[in-house]
Amino acid sequence: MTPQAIDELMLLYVMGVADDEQTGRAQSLLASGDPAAHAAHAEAMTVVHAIPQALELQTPSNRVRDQLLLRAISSTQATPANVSQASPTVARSKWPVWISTAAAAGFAIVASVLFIQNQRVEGELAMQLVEAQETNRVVGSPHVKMAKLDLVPEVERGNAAGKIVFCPVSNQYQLRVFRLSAPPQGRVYELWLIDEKNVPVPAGTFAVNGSGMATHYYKVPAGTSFVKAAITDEPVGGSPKPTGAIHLAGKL
Amino acid sequence: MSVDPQGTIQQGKLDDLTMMRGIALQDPMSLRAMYDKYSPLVFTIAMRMLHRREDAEDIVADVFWELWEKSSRYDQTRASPSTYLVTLARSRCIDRTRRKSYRQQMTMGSIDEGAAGTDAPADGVAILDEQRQLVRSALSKLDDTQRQAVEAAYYEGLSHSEIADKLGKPLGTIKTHIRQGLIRLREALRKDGLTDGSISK
Repeated sequence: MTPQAIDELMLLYVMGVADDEQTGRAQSLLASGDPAAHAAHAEAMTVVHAIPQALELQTPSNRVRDQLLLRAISSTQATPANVSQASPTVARSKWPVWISTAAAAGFAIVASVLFIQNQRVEGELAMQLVEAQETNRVVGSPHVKMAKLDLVPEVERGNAAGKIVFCPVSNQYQLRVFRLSAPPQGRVYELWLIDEKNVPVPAGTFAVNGSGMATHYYKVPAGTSFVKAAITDEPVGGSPKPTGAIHLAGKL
Repeated sequence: MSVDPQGTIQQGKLDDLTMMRGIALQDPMSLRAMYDKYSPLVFTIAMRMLHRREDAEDIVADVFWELWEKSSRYDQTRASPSTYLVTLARSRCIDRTRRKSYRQQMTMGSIDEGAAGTDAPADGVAILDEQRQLVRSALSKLDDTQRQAVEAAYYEGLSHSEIADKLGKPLGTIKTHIRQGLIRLREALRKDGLTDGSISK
């Protein structure tokens, strides 16, 4: 097959519209370890799965995030099975059936609300525990340094402030912001670490709570160093380069 | 994050790979960072394919849980982390569509697409991200039928013959449209230098 034919075959294969014969050919080319086939497959993956990049982004509710993180954190901690051993004894009720049914329904609603609230609280607590562990890792280093981030008055009003605690040996950065106003709708805050050539490197997006507080962690590759840090607002999902207004900035 | 990435910083690329390594080491902070960065994209794909907010949120949860629990399946030589996530999202949506005979249900209403929810970005908020603009521009260079055929194949997981039925075109025409549409998209992305693995980081 020509390289062009392999490229086209891989596009159809990745798209999921290749017929049986084409699928067989694509799979045998990949199974053979042919580098050209693998390169064509990788490019086809990039091209085909770029299609949804054109959509306008929407965001799922916070509940999804909370439940996912709680589940993930729970999975990393060995927890003994928590099986209820209660053997219920059912007493005969003298109340009319409809009252029992209504009470049961009411109880179920209250229990559901409490369960959801409890899950959310547990998720937040679990994340706080992980954050505390991360804080210990950064702050516990004998090489730890701290820098202040000051607000840029033209953009951020009030008395927002931030600080970065970082360890140049373990390359960990911990950002804390205070009293930072919520970002404009459809935007998130993004941290930038800026090197001595003034090149900004994206260091993750974060959200502030109702009090304008947030804690954010980032780890950089060994051997890299930064002289400044800044926080901008960017489109949801973050941006590879800063495009929005600078809210806080400071020297490291 | 509790991982030691190697190499030098390249706009976004190492960032994603660092997060993937953290996830492989079961670091919840890495999962959180990955979720915060890519959950809008995964959710948007799921909304486009399933049309219901509840189902789309299930897909988001499933995709990121799979990323967490089966992180060893990710092979960085085959795709970038974001391409991998998009692939997972699309295939989970197609699975769900087929499993629930979604198309039947959709004709009965209760589609959430128009009411994307209170968490969606404001109406008309354009995604200014440079890469997204380039992809959008590349797609806009396809003619209408090519784009419809490509989108039906991508978002609905339809076969050539199903797309031919849907669009009322001959099978051969649809095959040509999809093939040419993909080639034109690839050429546009190549021209913009986005098919070297940098597109969806």
